[in-house]
Amino acid sequence: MLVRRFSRTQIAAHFVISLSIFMLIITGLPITFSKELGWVMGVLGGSQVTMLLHRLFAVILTFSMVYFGIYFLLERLTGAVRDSNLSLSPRFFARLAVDMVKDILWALGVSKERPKAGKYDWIMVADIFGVPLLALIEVVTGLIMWFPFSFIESNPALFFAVRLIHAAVAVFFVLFIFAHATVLHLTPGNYPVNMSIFTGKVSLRKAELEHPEWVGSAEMVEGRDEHSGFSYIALVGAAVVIVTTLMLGYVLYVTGMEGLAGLRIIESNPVTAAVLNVAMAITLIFAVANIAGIVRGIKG
Amino acid sequence: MDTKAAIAFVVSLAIVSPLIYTIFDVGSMGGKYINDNNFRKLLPEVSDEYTTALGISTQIGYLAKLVLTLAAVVVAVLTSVEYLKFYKIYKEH
Repeated sequence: MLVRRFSRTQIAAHFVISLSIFMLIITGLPITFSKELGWVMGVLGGSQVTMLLHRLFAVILTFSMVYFGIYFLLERLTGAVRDSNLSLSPRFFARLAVDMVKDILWALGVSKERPKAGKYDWIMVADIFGVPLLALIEVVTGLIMWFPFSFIESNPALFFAVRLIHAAVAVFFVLFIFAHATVLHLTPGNYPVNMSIFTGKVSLRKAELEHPEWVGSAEMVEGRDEHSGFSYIALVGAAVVIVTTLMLGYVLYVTGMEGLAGLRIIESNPVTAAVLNVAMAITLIFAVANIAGIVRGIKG
Repeated sequence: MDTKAAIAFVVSLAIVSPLIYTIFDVGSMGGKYINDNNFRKLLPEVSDEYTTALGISTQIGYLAKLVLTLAAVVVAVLTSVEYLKFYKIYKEH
């Protein structure tokens, strides 16, 4: 038995937004780290094509964020929300904070009680609100660079400060996406791909284990229950992404301010070059898996 | 298409239409940053603007580097804890 978890609108939202974010990372990282990732620009057809693609996917991301943002609000205004526990109330966020602490303590073996999650647990809510927030910063700073407006025209040098914020938040976005994809696809119970975001359905057993408070209000649907447990391949995959995330911290640690150009790797070394290339490879793999997932989901 | 989707579609399209219209432009400054090197003019007012911007950028850069380096460590640790959580959930069942 399966349970309906996501609507078609949510599946479409996740696919379009994630694909545009992946493409923005793939085109944006070589712009910031051109010495280490210049080959990506070469593959894409040069710096002008890379910049054009970056703007194109920025437009797609902006459109998607506005579209699904309005849809999200209209759903709540018209009372069309069914089994979602998402709310904008302080009480909801206070409970999430408590759940987060309890969840971490349980995972570390300090506490014996695991909090009972609703449809979205604390880490999913962090993703649901974190991605639009980060995207909003990127869209606003990106638009200021694209259309410098009057306050920049009166002091064009501020352009560089805005570009620095854009690049710094983009690097955090990479870390965020790595964590999101690892937790939801490379963990026991999810590997090789958590198909719920592509088919809209999840097994009843998985729902009972991970979202016990939600199961009672969820819609049951017919379908084959695919079990997924521990996998050594997934463990290695998760370890590679986690180590790369940590090493991206090292890359940031060795950056320095190169005048108005902003944060740059002043002296490139084999470690920084390797970490950035591995990060690019991981992004490409996640992007391809995302497309493969939606194709498999549509085929049914 | 339901009413909510139609409203969201029209509003979104209206918002991004200026971006689609100018997508092939280099930027509204027309490449001024690259071709017009204000440092070489050595005008005091321009120099002051760039010095101010450099100061702001340096502060942002310092803060960004510190926050992002710590964020990378926190994200790596939290991801590891989440992996452990899923491992425990599925080990018990």
